[in-house]
Amino acid sequence: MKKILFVLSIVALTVGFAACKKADFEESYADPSKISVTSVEKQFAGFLTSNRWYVLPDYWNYFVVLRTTVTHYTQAVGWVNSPNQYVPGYAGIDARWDNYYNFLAQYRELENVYSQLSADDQKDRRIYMIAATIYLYDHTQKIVDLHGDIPLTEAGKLSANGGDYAKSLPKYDNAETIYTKMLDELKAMAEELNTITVKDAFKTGFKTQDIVNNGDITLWKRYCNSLRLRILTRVSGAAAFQTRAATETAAILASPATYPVVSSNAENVQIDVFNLSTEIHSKNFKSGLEDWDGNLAGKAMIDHMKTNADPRLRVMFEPGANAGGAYNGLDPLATSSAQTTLVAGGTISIYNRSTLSRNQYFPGLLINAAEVSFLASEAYLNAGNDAAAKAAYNDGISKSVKYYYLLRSLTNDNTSPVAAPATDSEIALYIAKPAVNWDLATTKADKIKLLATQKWIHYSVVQPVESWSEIRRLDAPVFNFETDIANNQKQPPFRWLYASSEQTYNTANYATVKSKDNLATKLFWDVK
Amino acid sequence: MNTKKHLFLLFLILLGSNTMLLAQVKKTVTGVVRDNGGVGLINATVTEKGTTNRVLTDQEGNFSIKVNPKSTLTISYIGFTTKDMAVGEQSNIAIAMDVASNALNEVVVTSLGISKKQKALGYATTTIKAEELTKTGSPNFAAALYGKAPGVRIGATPGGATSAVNITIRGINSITGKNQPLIILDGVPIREGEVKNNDYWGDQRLRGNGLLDINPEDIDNISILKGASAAALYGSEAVNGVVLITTKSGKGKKGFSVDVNTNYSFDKVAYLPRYQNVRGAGAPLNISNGGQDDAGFVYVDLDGDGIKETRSILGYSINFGPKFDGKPTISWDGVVRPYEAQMDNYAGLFQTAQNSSVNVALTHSSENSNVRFSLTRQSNEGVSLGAANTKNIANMNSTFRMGKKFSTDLMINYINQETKNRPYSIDRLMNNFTGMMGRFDNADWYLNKYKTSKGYRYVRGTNQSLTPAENIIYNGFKGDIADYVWRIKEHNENEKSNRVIASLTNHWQIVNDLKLRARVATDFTSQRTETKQSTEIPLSFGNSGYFAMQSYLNTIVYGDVLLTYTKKITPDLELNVMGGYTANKETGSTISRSTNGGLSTENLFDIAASMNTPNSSSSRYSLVKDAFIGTLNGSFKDYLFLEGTVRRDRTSTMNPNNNSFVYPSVNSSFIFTEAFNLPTFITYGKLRGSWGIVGNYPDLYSANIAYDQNTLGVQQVGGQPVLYTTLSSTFGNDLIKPEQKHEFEFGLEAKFLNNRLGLELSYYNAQIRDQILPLTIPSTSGAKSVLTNIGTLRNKGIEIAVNGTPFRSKNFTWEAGINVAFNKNVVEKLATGSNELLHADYDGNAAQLKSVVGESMGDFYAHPVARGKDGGLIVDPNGLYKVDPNSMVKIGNAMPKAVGGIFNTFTYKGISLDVLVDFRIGGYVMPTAINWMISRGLLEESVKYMDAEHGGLSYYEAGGKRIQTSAAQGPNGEKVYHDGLIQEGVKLDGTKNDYVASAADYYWTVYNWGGPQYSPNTRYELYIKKNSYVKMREVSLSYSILPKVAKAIGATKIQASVFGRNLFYIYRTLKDLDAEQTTAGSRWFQSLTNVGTNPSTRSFGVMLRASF
Repeated sequence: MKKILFVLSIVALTVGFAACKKADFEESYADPSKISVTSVEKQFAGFLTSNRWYVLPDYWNYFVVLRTTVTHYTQAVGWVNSPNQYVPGYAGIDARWDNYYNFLAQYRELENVYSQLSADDQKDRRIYMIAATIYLYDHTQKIVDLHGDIPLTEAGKLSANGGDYAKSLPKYDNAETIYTKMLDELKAMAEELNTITVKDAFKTGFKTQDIVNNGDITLWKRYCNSLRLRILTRVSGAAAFQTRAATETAAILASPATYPVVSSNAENVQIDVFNLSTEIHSKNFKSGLEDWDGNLAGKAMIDHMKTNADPRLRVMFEPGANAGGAYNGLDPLATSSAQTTLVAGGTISIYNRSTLSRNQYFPGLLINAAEVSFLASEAYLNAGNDAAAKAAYNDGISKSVKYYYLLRSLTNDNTSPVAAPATDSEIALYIAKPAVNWDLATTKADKIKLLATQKWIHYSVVQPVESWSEIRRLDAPVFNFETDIANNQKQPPFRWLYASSEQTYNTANYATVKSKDNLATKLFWDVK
Repeated sequence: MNTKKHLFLLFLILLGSNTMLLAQVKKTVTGVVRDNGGVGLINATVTEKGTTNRVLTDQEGNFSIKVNPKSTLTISYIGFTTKDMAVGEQSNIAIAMDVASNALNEVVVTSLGISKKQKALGYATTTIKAEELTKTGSPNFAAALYGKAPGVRIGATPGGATSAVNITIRGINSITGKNQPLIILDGVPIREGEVKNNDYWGDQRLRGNGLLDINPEDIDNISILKGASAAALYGSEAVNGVVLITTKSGKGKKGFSVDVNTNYSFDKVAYLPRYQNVRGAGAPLNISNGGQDDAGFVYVDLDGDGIKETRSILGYSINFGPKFDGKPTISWDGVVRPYEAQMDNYAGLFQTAQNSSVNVALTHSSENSNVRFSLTRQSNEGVSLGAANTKNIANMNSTFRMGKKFSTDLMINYINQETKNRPYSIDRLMNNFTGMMGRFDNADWYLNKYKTSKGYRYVRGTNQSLTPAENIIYNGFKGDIADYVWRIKEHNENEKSNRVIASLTNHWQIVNDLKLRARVATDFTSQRTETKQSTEIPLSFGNSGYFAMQSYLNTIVYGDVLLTYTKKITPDLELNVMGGYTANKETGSTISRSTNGGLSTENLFDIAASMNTPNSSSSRYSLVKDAFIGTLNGSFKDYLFLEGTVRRDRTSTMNPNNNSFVYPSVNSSFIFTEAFNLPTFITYGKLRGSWGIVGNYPDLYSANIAYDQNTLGVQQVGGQPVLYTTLSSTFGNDLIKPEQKHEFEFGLEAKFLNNRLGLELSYYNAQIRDQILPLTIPSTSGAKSVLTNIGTLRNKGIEIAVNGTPFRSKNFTWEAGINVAFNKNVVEKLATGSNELLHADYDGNAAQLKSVVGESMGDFYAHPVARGKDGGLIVDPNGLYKVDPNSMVKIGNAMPKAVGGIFNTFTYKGISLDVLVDFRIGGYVMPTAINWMISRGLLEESVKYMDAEHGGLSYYEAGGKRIQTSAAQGPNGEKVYHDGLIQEGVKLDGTKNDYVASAADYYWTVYNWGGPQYSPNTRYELYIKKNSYVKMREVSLSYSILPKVAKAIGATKIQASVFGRNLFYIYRTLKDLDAEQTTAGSRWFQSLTNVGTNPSTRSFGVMLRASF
């Protein structure tokens, strides 16, 4: 018996020593690569980073999302016609939508972390919230312009709601309400940025974490006011916004000291590529734009640039391999067989690979000086100040030309030879051409067409979503598209459908917008 | 004399005396061994007791053996009770063997490797013996289980020996979690490894799982624990049942023996879709104008004279073009060929996979030890070009007895493996319109042209090339196929792994009634992978190519201690108490580096060749589980048995404050044939009943909520690195509860007519509560999924197995058996408060897979055709049914109703024919790609209505309408087409439909991609199809040479056989694909829609087995 007791106690002891402890379980509960707490600083950078592949040119955005949709609707490129081509694909819509809402969820988490700080700590980090909100609204406008009403005020709150998914299914906010909200808040932030003081102790941190403006608060002001200009211009034709747009635009343009905007290419708001070995780069622009001939030039753009000796032609495009140096765009009305032959023949121009697709330092563009000039020009034109409108228009063209040469200067690729720089006189000659000349356009409508054409060239494949919105709003330039006999959607759509996950998983809320969820519904600002 | 001479003499003397002894004493005994029906037993073993002297009986059951006088003969024969017979003065003995009431004494391996008498078990287990696993040379044990165990369903990913195999026991127990049973090898939980092969963009190669490594030749038997009670001692790991593998050991053998087994087989691509062979790419002019002429062709200028003289097809992915006429037409590779269907063109992308296996096993047993050592060399290929796998498996299994009280078991299984180019997924050739090979296209052309004469990747159009003349410029080229060929040829992935599964078990009989068993074990895998992707373009054009190296380590350390106390309380009543502890820790890590931005030197495969700073990544994990266990057994008079078990376990995948749960079970068996006097035709009868709980925990790290942290590095001059955090889009849940399966089960086992007929029946009913699920939520809510306890499932079913020997005579025996299992699965409750749970939405709301409360899990829903007021099907002006975008109806359920198998074994003298058929009844799948092939006009089905001969109506087009006609042209000279059809239905205004549809438009549109939003006439209801089949799974014909002959060359047994696997269908509902083609992952919903893994195969082989 003694022996048995002895044995039993040895066994018990051994098991006692060898057995797992509570700490063993605790250690293995959490993924070792993750952390349980974050800070406003880190979450801010995470928020900015989470949609970087829709800011920096990247494969998925260009190849899957844009190649079959927006770059066709804007004829920024030439392509071979195919059946069902005007129904935007689900892979692209879902990808962009999911990315935006993941980005929004990171913003909500930033709000969450911020809200848990003491009042003093919050005050010290207020700049992060302002910057984050400006950046958020820039992208919110884009997603509204693609879809119309979207979930916003209740969206992205799963974490804030403690994982209660039923409570977190968001309602849709009316597109106009979202515009109003963004305008109100951006205006307030524009004012606040003029008075805010950021303690030195926090400036360094902000400078590090701010991958957009590198901690430059003045640039954030410019970003904020330029964005306001962009949003106000977009709604300037909508009845409910007409007065507000006129007043606020005038106020911004009248007092650059209070409301500075992006006024030179040096002030462009963009995410710069600093080091190719980091996760901020444009290395996948090449496959995104070039694969499957996604970089072909469209006929309309090439014809305009050739006819008017546009100084951007040689820096934005390069002739086809077998074109003998001639620039040709692909005619969208040709039969697919003829188009295929042309494409295979190598006479169609392509987007300049060294400036764009193979430029691994291509910046993630947010808002730039040329664009702001064109916005200002339209505002002046609406306000009846033709001289200022003309000056801004010409200024915009000049900045746009310089901008493309600036992009070329960033590149690390020389597939296409360095283009001779555009001189001021060359730009002046271009500005004087009949299809460009402000003074030759006699009516306001004609001047709007000039503006629209310049915006369209300037945006090209670089800011395609902006380009599509402006073309829809201004109904200019006017393009011809082949009628698709194989599908009910005969021409390009007026908006994108909602992501498929909405009607499946957010069914009740989706039901409130279902009637608008078709390709024919126009955005509220698309009043023409 | 020197020492050497002394020794030599001594040796001679010994030898001499020995010979003398033999010569003097031995005598010859002859005899015959028969069964109790008087039929002679072939190959029965007759052994002189206590020696290694033995012989086998011949065809008539006769034997002859030289033995010592007064010795005893031991006669053994599988299925019969071993008999001892004293020789005495006899020289001719007739021995009548009794059929073993095997169930009476048969021993079964149960939980924790504890052997129990079969009759004492109160729950269902199925034991599968070695012979059944190796008959047809299956490269892994799981693929040898088809149709052999009631309630066990096998699903193998197509592609060959390296692709994963799934085992499902008693239906699906988890809505989205693991469905794979726990695999235990000689008491050690092994890395079984789930796989997912349906995610092309995540991984282009088809992966295997850990169970493929277990060599069927080393397996002695497999015991399958199906119900909760049987598996209760495995607690939270056993919700899907347990597969216990016992490897061969020397036990039960005497002396020294050698077994040699070798086989060779080949797999050929089989069960491809039924392609049409009448027409090529293109479309009628009224459907799509791509610039073709009236006949459907376009022309190209080959001789450069500016005249387009050579006929070409359109570069379309749809194949409603001109009929094959054999006239010269240029194909995409620039060769002018007769325009005709290229038979077997797609199959040409695959190889015949050759497989072989050689196994040598040495066994030695003595009083104090038994050792089995086996070496196996397996070499397998996949049908994917270049896919090959070789394995060297060494297995040692031994027991050493040290005195009466101690013994030690040592098992080592070492697997050294090299896998070259795991099969490459054909996703892009199936789930992709632009990758489907047309009928005027050929694999050979791609194999010829995928690379240029300078070794670079093919170049299209006018793209930059060193060999512009070789650029591919003609119509009909499918870039996706060429890419596929480039990748299988030029992307090499070489995987080398070493895996050791070992265990050391000590037994100590402390005192008579008290036993201690302690075990430590490990399953250790180390794997190195190198990926080499050839340079695609010349360096002067840019950098391409890729190199990566990865190392993966996985370690499971397992230990258990069991203390058992046995007490006979009265002569009739015996009690057995066991207590123990087990712990298990699994750790793993993956580290990889790869080139970034292409290779700096063409085809220099090393990290040093990286253009930019190389990429690197790493991950690691650890998982801890432990449990205290206890059992109490009682038996009364050896016919009534009762057992209770309890397990309290903990796991690290749950919140540490709430991670411990208790799993109880009870079971009882009653051998009524021993308790009562029953008619003699009932040989054996047992009733059993059991109840128990088992569970399942969430996946590793999925419950915890934490931030991902990373760095962007320095982003400005003089800046600091940017650290950032993000919240994952898969949201965890710290309050998650484990899943629990509560199951009860009753069974009957009976044998009749001296075991000529056997019957086994089981009924089970299991409720699985608190299903853990990453519930999909809209991304607008802030994440894409959230971990939740979602609901309750029930699985109930009946398993029936009948087997018997319908005929037995002296020379001929026929044995047969059938097993069938019916399982009914019901979703009982969902915690969301909702009535249904959506698993997947396919192709933009075209179809859905969901589980609805009150129904079986996995209902396929699709949009029906819209109906008018009076119920007629609405036809749109294009002549096609209008799909109702606002409603979805159930088309079918994914769960099979029944699965089973039928075996027949015919033995005539030394010849034996084994035939195994397996079947499945019900269960729907949605093989979308097959329907897309119809939409592309590639399959036979799409040929209907294509012209008058195929039932097409004639019509002409005017004013945007199609008007039926019988004239040669329309009233205004319009062209008449002959591919019209009219759908039965009504127009929107309620009148009878008379809109004419064009056949090309019909197939192209109705079988297109996308929901009604994208494609309003596409009918996914036609995509969802029942998957029932009866398949000739295994046939093997073997011949054992006469024992006399075998003996002459020193062998005890020599058997040669030919076999085939996956041979043909006796019946099937899916005509254009193999029933298992959709198997693409370990989880049930991964195996319903994707046919893009690899083609299915059919195998033939030969085998030779010999024992010495």
